Amino acid sequence: MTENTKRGEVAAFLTQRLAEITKRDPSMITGSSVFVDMGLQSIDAVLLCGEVEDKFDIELDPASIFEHDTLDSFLGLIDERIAAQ
Amino acid sequence: MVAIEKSKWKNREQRVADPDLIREILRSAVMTPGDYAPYLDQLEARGTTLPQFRAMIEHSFIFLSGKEHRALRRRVASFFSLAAVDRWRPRIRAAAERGFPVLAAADDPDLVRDFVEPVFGEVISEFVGFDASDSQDDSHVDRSELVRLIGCANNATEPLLPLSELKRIDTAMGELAARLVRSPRPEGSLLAFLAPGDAPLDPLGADVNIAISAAIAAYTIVQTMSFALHGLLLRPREAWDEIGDLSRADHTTELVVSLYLPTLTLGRVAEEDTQVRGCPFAAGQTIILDMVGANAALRERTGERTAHMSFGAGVHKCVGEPLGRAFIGEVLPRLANAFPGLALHRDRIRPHLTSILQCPTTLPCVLAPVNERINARMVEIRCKADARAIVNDDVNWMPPPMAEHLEVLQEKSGRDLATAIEVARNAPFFLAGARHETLRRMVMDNLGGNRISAWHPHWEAVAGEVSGRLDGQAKVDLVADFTEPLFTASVKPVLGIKVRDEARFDALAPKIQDVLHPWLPMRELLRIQDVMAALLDLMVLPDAGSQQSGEGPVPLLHALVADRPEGFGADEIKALALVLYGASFNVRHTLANVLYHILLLPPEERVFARDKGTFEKRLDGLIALCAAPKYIYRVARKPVRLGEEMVEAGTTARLQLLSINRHEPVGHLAFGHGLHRCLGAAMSRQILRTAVPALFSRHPDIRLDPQRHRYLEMSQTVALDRLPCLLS
Repeated sequence: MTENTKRGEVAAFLTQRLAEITKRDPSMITGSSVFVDMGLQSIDAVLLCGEVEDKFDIELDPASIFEHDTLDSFLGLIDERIAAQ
Repeated sequence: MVAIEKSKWKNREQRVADPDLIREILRSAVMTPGDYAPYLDQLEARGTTLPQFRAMIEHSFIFLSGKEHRALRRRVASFFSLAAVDRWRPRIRAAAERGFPVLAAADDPDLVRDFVEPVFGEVISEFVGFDASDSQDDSHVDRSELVRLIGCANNATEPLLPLSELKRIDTAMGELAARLVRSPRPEGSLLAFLAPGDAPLDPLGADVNIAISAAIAAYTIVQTMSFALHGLLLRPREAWDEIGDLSRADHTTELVVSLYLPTLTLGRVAEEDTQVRGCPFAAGQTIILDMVGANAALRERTGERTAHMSFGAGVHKCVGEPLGRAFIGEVLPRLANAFPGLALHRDRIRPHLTSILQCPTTLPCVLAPVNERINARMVEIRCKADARAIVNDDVNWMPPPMAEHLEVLQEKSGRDLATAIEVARNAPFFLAGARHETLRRMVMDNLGGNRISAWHPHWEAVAGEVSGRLDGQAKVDLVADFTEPLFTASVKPVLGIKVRDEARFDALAPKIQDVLHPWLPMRELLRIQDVMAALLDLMVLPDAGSQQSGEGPVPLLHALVADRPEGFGADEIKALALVLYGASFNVRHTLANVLYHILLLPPEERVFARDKGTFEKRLDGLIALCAAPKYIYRVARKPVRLGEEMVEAGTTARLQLLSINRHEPVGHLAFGHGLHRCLGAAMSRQILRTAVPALFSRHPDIRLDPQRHRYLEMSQTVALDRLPCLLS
């Protein structure tokens, strides 16, 4: 699986889960969406990171969601972790 | 000349520490630094050639002796004279001033990497003549590479270096030589002084290698500054404030050079049979001089804190003495003025130790007590006034609501977090309101100030017994051999914790401290929950009727079981006891931090720790500086003003005790304040009052095995893993 398709898979997964958590339509979630503005709480951060860890077999500190506050920025971090596997 | 015997550094007992004997040895014409050439010859005979290394020792202040050494000193005398070096002070000042914005802009600032080295790099580059112009980029980036090369080459004076290191040193020296050969010999530099004009320079020749040897020797400035900043910034704030007094810069310099000498030892070898001050030395005998010990003896003898012989004596007295003094005197006070609120992250300092040198290689720090937004959900509070306002404001701020957080997490994730929820519901520092009030009263009825005094005799006995176990030992680890056994024997009985498997319980218990980390990942939560379940399973509640009558103080668990408060089952009582035991680890870590802090002080300044009365006066200052907890957390109940910023409900405030407690000890927050003040504060203070004087009165000469301490990597706690010490 190439890096692009992997990134696409991660992006799709995150967009779907963020839509469910924040009760939004997936089409409204873009790379520049800001997590805090979407109302993401610390509980959501712990849950979402746990799911990304399980699905993509990487380690992820929930606080990092709030350090990479947009979807694109957070995707970049996940890319790095997957690449470093 | 005779070769020095490098294995002698291994034998600590045969070191000379008497200042008068050391001075005479250094002055003796038959005592030399030893000849390095035979050592290089042997390496060469076995196929390892170190051309630049050899060229350097043939033209170096450090390695030459006799006629050639005197000729070299005469040749450079005028350049290194006090008057000549004083003319460099304005440039040193300017380099320091240019260093401040570099430090201020640094991400995760480190005083060595982001200040001492860049400023030294700029000064030594101009002073020796490593001009930066050859890199077409005048930024300090190039000088950090220059400083790295000089630091690497500085290891040349180390005994017993592995071949790989010797080759790295040779390569670094070769790079330094190449830079000097390319240099346009800037006016006023050592290189221009040695080789005026523009005749090509020989990289293996005298001029280039004298300049390299001067730069290598000057690197001691970096080591002295780093060691001094480490010592000064770990002291109470007043010590740093005094350094900022520019009118006392000379006094500051002598104080620093005496107290914070990075050079542990010097080596000398007797060229022939000789006697110095009545002591016989055989030809070829290697003598190790304990320079730190000599300074301590001079301070004690003269009663002067600035007494020292740090620059040595005799023909090999440090040539760079005026430059060292100028650099320290100009840079240190200005740094203290520019950054008065500096504080060091104790547990992230990386010590460096060799047989001849001790100094930190990293000094991660907080530049000023200014609040900083960490991320979208967290603000770090370093301003003491803001911190005190938050801990006293239970209307707008609450402890992290861990139990509610876990309940929602359990519901949303479908994971079983029942044990973690049970423990969180019985952890006072996660609670607010009626339940917190009930738990607090339950605990304070047993651990409060006046009730806890019933345990004093027990703690006195434990402190005496544990410090007695160190008798007759030459080497001890004050964590494994003192603070740990003392903690276990002092705290478990107070809480009344009985377990089926002591060893397993003690091995597992420290792990629950990780629960303080905000937003723990699910996998960590589940791991810690397993540990908590195992610990609770190991614990055995006393029978209701087993409360001792009249036999000394009543343990907390006995009291709670005997008079169980309404709404609290056996499991909840057990969970509370486990939470308190986990929290009480801070006593053990704080005690070790206090011992390390005291042992870092010069011998003459540790006397206060031997007596309860004098120790009592310093107790709060030590707790403020050495407290194990790094943070106190509060969560905004509603939108609230924080300094100039409005923060949303749910925002976490992380109160950073390092900066907050850096001020005067009065009003420190090591135990928090207000409704949530630490329930174990009285116990902690009393155990410290008892344990520290017990150790230092019984072992007054205990001293650090320097730079061998190690910290545990814990995000929430400053905790020593080991603290190796030497006993006479």
